[in-house]
Amino acid sequence: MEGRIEDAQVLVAEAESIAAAATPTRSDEDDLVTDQDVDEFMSKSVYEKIPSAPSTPSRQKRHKTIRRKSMPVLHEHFDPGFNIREIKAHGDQITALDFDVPFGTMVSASLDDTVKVWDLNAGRCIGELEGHTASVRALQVEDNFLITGSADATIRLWDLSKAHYDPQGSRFGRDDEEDDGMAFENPDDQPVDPPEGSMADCPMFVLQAHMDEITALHFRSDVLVSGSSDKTLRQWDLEKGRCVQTLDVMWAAAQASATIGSAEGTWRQTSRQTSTAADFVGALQVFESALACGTADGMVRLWDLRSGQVHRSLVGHTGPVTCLQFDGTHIVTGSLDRSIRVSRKLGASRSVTIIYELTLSSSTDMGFAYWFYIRRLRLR
Amino acid sequence: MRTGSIFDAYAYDNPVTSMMFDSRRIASAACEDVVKIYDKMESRQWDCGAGITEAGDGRTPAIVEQVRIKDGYMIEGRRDGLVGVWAC
Repeated sequence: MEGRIEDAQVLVAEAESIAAAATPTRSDEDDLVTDQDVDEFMSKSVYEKIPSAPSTPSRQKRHKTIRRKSMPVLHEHFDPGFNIREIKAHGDQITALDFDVPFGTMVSASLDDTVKVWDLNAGRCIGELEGHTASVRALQVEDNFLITGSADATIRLWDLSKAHYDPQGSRFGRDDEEDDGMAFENPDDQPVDPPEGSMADCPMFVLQAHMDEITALHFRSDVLVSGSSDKTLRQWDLEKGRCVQTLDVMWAAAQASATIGSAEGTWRQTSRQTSTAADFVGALQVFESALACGTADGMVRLWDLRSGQVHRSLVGHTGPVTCLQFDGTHIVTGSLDRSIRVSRKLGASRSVTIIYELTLSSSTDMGFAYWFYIRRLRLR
Repeated sequence: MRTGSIFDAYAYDNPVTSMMFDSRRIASAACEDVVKIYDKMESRQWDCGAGITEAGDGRTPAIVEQVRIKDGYMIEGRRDGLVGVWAC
């Protein structure tokens, strides 16, 4: 017990030092690094609207349909590392997947050019989404709303609530029975073929403007941003269903280097020749008018969609950026790099996940200011 | 203080192909048959996935390519088309 208290005190002390470094005005009760607290200390900014959990539904209620009477939170009763389920989803490599909520709906895409929708609770395939003529490289599910971006250069929007699916037809559609928690780890459950045409009513519309593969996309509310191998990002208005802005990454990078006044904004070839397999736009995330985008040159650029310009470029990766995510305080990025220049301590042949600390606040109506603080470099 | 600096970094032996975090954990796919989980609260790094659970079975799970995590519920998609669902 004493050991635990000591541990807690160490954590508190550490968190306090972190808090003190980040915002001198933060008080002790903010010291736990949770998203709720983060929201509080950002109350002055528009970023207070960042939800405490990224999965918080942002889509309007009109898209919401109730498909489950109760939401099992059984994962709280599972030990970390417990295998809840394994699904033979595709015959080839998974290229993208996402789900709405735990035990909810999953969408998976594969090199076999299929896109499938799954009931995670029952482990059943709800149906197959047909329309793309090449494999889907990026997708996102929010509530019953799905957006897929494909190597065929098109983006498709789907309403999953239009699927003809009967969860009661499943052997496992009994989520309100208390002692039935283990029912869905039946090892011999195989995907049952969904009825033909079960997803026929799901397609909503198609967005076509990109000239090459869609490799990344992210949407929030009615704003969608997509990134393509044609070296552009496009911002779409999902209400009107049209492209409202095209961002030329190379041009913006040159602009940024001119205004920021250093070489950090310019496009540079990465030292390692990993770019053959790497996507030009590896990952992006949008929040209101803020956009973070990671590209094959190893840069993470922060854009203001109102001006269409790069506000800041994050240096650190030496290989193509493949993934990124930010919340109110941090951007975490991952890369294909096998060497790193951020620290002398790191070995020369390791890849890294980098966490940038991000303090966001709106200073003027012209844009957000981003501040980054060095805290510490922790090596794993 | 300098701007644009790195707060923290984790090094893995292979490229990171996919990553997502929730309020507590950072899950990364780094060309292994497991997902690398970093617990932000406990400052602890551990592995989750078929490479651990099937280690004694003589099976060789495929490399994890994609990973998603929300509220401690993690799914991972592999090179052979299998999707694993995990609590973590």
